[in-house]
Amino acid sequence: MNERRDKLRIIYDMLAAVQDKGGKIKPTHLLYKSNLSHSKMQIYLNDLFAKDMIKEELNKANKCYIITKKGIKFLEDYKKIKEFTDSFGF
Amino acid sequence: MAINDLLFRPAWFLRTELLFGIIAFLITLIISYYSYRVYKISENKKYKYLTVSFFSMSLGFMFKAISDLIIVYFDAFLKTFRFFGFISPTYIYTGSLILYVFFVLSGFVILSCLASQVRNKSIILSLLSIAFLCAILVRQARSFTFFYFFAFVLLVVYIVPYMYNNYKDKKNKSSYFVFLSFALLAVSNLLFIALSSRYSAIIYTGGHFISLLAYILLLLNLTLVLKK
Repeated sequence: MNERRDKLRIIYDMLAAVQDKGGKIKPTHLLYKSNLSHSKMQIYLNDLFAKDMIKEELNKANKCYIITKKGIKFLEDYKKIKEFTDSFGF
Repeated sequence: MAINDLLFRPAWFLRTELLFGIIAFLITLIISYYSYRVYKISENKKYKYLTVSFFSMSLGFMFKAISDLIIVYFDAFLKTFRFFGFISPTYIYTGSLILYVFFVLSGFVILSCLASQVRNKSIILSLLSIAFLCAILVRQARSFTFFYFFAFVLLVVYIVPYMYNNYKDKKNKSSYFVFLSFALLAVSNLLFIALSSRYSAIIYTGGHFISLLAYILLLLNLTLVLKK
């Protein structure tokens, strides 16, 4: 049975999906990779924009999402954050 | 020294206790800062409460360090305060002690509510009121050794089984350190309770060493986490 993902894990999965695609991903690919509904993905995307972890790029009417330095830093820090949260179990 | 007799402390241990208080203050402050960083990223309210909990403890240990500092350098404080016409250092000592008890207990109230998943605000407020009552009672030496440590142990009783279950679930070094840390805090405070019936310098200092070890384990856990 799949465990329910928390917000931290969803953000990690989304950013990791962008990173795996060389730092740039199409919205449809991100939707598939992040395993979320379109409306949910939009909520998390807005959050990632606000936190400056991802940015949008329009290229010949095609939309792409690009991971920023802050997003890459989050991916690096995620293991530490996970270990910390796991140690207290909250 | 009369003020020292209030807590039945061995005179030779005063400076060491001051140092222990400063170490506990720094460790809890560092943990609250890291919890805050986790909260800012995750926006999970649990980490906001964890931040508040450890920050409250660090405030408590800061006031403990102030009260210990007054005891260690009581004569110097007395002369300076008299010279400048300030209030007696005894008042500052008592005030710091009350704030120490209140903030440390409040930190553990929040932590035990997190562990036992208490969301009811009136229950949390009631527990905080008990923390406040214990803080007011510290003016009486016997009350200090009994009410404060008894309340502390009662709160830790909720936390230790939670941390043990978390360790059983995660089975990693960091969750073991956190569990062990809270178990040691429970043991140290049980020793302090024993002091109210029979005073022993060995039990007093032993309790403080165990307590210090508990906070060092929390720091060790954070160091391991940040190393990854």
